[in-house]
Amino acid sequence: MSNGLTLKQLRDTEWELAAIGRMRVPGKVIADTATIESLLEDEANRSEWSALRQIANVACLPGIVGASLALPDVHPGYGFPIGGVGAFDLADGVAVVGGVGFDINCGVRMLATPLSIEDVEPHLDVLGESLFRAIPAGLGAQGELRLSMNELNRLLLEGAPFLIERGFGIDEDATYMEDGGCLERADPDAVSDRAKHRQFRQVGTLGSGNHYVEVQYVEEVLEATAARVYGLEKGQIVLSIHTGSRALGHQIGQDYLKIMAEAAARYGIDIPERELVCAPITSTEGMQYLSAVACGANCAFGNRQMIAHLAREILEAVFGVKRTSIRTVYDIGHNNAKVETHCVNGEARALLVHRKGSTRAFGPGRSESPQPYRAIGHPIFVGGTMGTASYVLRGTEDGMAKAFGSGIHGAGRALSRKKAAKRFWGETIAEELAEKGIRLWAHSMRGVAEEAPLAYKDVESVVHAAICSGINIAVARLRPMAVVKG
Amino acid sequence: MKRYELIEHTADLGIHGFGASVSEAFAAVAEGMFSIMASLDTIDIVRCHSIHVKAASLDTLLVEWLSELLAHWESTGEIYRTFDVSIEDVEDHGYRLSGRICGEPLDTAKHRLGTEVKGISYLGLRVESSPGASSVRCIVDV
Repeated sequence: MSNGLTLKQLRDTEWELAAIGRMRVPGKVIADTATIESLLEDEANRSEWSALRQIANVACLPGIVGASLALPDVHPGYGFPIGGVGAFDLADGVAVVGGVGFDINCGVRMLATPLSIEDVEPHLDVLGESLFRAIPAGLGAQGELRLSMNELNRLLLEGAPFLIERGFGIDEDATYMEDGGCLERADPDAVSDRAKHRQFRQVGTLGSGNHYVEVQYVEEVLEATAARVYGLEKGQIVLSIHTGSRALGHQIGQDYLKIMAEAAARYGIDIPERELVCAPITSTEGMQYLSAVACGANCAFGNRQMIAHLAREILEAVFGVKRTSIRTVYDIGHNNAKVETHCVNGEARALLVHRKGSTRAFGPGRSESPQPYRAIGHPIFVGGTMGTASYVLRGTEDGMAKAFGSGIHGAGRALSRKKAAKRFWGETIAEELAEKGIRLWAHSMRGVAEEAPLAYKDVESVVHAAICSGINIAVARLRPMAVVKG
Repeated sequence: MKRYELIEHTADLGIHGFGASVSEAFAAVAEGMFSIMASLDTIDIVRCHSIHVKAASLDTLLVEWLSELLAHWESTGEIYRTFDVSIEDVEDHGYRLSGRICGEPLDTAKHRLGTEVKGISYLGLRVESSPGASSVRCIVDV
């Protein structure tokens, strides 16, 4: 596919990328006009980082169903674009390493507290400082939990419940996690020893880069019914934890890029690009990869569980609230591949849905949602940047039909890390945030500069496009008060 | 003169390493990778290790080399600043790399820290070599 990618506007925020060359299905982009213009500009500049080309490349893979999708926070990734969704037929389709990426099941856990802004504001410094000290974050930080190889294998097999049973959580936590905090097809034998050895020090660590713990307040409830179901109200304090599967996931990605490259060659799969190496879902390699991804996902659930536990201890110590009064609103990932049933042209089909930098966002009535949320659909979390709002959204019937029940995950980068590091000073950003009443604790000031609010797209426009297209509905807007970064 | 430079990408970082030979360029790119994680001039040489990796081609050897270094640092908690590399072309069996890396255990009070590198991408890999001047390029996920 050398050129000729053309976009046709279907509706306000929906665009079709016509199937040309080896594309088996068209591409579909759900985004606002400004995003579309920047995608076209990247493509015109023959940038090797063209998200549009990546959408087209995914459309070339065997067994892809419907369309190669991109959501409003789309930007270039590895193989798959970030904000990409690719659904594949279980019989003819492939499992794609680039469709999950290095940080398997990176995601967000939200904790709802019984505290209000007025309760927290006078003690914000103590709270932020305590979270910063208690939660291992930043380069080289080590978790307090030391597992044996046998225990680590059990964590990979059992996910968050393994830790909850050991006292690092409350019983209800698993109910309010995607897939109950455990993907069942996990097989620790599908994960290399190297991946496990890299993980030993990192269970319960936050990492660096865009990972964070934020103390936020509900600034506005945007859909009263859903907010009530999720237990959120105006002025309430919530904590958001953004992290993933750490070194284990990174190494699984690295290992399977190699294994799947060999498999793709063996199965004669024509790969449009190196990062899109894949194997048939039904092949030994394909099944092994999905078992390894489930291990990575369980590790990420466990990681967020440990950090949630530490956060509860701090809230208890600082405010005297009971741990059990701090509820998990939900825990949802945005880098995963899962088998799900979707209605395609009036027919129910089991598909392997890859979501890279996008979340599952199932609308009302799906059995995958926790029972208390089932009638309305589970919440999804959209992380803003350090200075801006975050959102709680939910899925819709429309999103089930148009986007395999998917939702946006964040603002999406606009500036490279290096450009951001050159343009901004971490210390200045901390001062600017302080002027807005946001306190910041960080292990790396260069990391802060790289994560400067202006290095990201405007979260408001990304959320607006998702709502406008009908795939997601806004439930609540959150504002940060304290930010803890790696 | 700096033996490496970091290249712009929206979400990620590219590393360009140079040297008189491919081996030197491989060493330079490793230096570049650790410079993302910490200011190299804050690292002292306390411990050294030998590293051995092999691969069918030079570009996959580059990925193997760098991911071996990542695995090494994460399992030992040591951060490195000097890298010596010797690459051998093994007839019909691809390439073999022997390396010696030196550094010390990470100390958050002492080392000026940057950002964690998650993995090495196969995207945009390039190994170019002419007599007396080699350069290699790769992109890392951060």
